[in-house]
Amino acid sequence: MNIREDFLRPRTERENAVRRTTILEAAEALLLESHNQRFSISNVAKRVGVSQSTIFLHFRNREELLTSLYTRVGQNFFTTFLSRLHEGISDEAFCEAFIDTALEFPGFRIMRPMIMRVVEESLNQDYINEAIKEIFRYRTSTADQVEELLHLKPGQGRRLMKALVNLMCGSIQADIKRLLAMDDGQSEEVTSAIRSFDFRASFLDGAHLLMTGIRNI
Amino acid sequence: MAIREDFRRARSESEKEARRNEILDAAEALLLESGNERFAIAALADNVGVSKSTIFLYFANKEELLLALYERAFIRTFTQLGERLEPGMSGRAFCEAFIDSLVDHPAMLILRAYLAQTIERNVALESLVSTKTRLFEHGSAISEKLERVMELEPGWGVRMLMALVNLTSGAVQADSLPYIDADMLPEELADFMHTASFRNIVLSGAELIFRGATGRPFD
Repeated sequence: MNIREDFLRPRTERENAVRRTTILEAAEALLLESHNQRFSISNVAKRVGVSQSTIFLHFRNREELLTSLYTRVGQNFFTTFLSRLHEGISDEAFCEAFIDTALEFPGFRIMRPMIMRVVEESLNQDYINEAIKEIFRYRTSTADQVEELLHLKPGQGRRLMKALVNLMCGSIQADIKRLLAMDDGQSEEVTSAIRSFDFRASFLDGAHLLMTGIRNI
Repeated sequence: MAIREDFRRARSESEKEARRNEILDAAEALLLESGNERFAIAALADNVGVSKSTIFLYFANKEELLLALYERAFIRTFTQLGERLEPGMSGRAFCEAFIDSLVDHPAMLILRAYLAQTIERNVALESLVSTKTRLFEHGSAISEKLERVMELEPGWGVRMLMALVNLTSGAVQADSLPYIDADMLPEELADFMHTASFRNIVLSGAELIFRGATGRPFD
């Protein structure tokens, strides 16, 4: 294994921040490749081209790395989603922007089921509290902007966003009847195209009920 | 390990059925204890008091067993919900009954997350098709009862139930309250975590789905 010279001696805060980001980018790439949560610090280290102990200079343990990564993928998802909204957007276009962003930025929904176990394993660590504060900050700020753009009643933006996140994460697990036929000798690509299409349709159907409901409140 | 004599030779169909159910009971207990990633047939066999090969007489592999457990939990959940439906019940009472039925059978939501990723790729197509057909029929029957009892247009019961199941499956992932010590958090965050409890989160979204599907008030 080649050890990267440029990683050996971080000097300034800024350099440190850049290295942290490089590590998080590598961890995110691993996550998206394997779609599973069991990636290890040693895999991340190999990917970056540094030793495990260098990773531990920037993150105290695997839990801190995962928590930071979750904060990052969540922020990317919500920031991109917000950037696609505009004054006067229809409820339908709003829901489509949400699900399309979720499909393009899968890191958030892949990590969400695993993060509570990480929290459980890191009880009362200060980085957990910091992460919760950070997540709270960008989630509420997104929800408040949604409330304004859609002209919802006070408090309904946060309510709607929570429900949409839950609906989205639950829809991806949806039972897909048509997939049964696809499993028979179809390519992986076709299967996954069908799967993502159905995930989207299933989400949009529920989101339509949510939007109708919030307009009736 | 003691091998149980009474498990050795299941003779009649009803004996086999009883043993199959006993294995599923133990599997459910183990699943709730260990989660699906750490679920192992060896530990299950130990808990039942039989050998692994006895388990494999009843289920071809771990995924077939988990699929059977999912089916049982699904049917029990929706049977219970069907029994709790009453003419004239409020939207809130319906949503509470829905949440109670899911909470009473946690294996369904735990396995649902695992189904599309792993289980469906590791079971024989025939058992997947027959399981899904039975689930579909059972779900349709409950949806129709829901439409009758709540006086909904045809098709709206199933839409509402699908949306509620999706919402609940998403909410269960983020059920953080048991792990967070609210005293450690600043006040505004403690409030945030409280409203993030599983039941509150589901009810808040379920009210929107109910109103969206029926156009009626929640209470």
